[in-house]
Amino acid sequence: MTSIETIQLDPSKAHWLPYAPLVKVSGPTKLYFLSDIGPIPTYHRQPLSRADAVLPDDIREQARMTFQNLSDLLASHGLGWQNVVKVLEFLKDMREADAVHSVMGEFFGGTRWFPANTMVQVDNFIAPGARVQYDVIAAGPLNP
Amino acid sequence: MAITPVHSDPARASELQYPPGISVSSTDTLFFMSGATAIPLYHMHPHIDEECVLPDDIGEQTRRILVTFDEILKFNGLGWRNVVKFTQFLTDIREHDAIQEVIAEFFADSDWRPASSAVAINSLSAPGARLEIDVVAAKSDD
Repeated sequence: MTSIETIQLDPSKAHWLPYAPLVKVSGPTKLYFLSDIGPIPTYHRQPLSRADAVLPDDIREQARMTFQNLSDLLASHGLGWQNVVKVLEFLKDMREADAVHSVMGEFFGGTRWFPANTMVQVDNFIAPGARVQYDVIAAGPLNP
Repeated sequence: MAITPVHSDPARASELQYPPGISVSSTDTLFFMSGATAIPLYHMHPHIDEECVLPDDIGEQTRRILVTFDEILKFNGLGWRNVVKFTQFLTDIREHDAIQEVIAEFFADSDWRPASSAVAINSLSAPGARLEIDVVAAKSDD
């Protein structure tokens, strides 16, 4: 059986963290290493055409588009947010982290699941105007 | 072992120079750890200033991060030999060598070295943090 669990070294402080300090995946598992996911459509012409990358400036709207793209990709393989074991979160502006996480809560809060998380601020993304990008590892049953 | 491209719309696969994902099968136990800076593993959110008072010395910041991971590893019955991947995020790439020296101290007892990548980034979430490391560890059941 595939097992995906949060490990808390100090359960009394678990509520301090809006993410899991670590996620343990055990048993026969299928791991999914996803390409970068952002507000632009997952399928887009390459090299990227500017017409495919007209993005709203609003970070909350970009976060919604990003999480929708992620949800759709996961759902196509019978997976959901509770299968996401690790996210690497790239932001253009660290001050927008709270806005992104509040949209994350709107999308996925109902699952009560928190992946392990790393978050850094970077200069730029491939898509002009993009402000957020995710690098995701998910885990699911070996034979879905 | 099955290694398979992940597509949500296979009809459009040819548009992309890479697949939206790759899936692999595994029977090993994997541990995905959140990125850690030199502040305590458990800290308040939003961050409070008192928890983010950090030494300026990059060696000391690196040591605190590795002590955090040492605790996480031991808590799970693991050691540094179980670490398969380090990703290092630096705010100043010139500090790379000093960081590697401290990492080497933690691996001094074995010849094991995990895969590692390092990049310079603009900013980390904790004020004053100059390094964040995230770790993947594994335990083979066989």
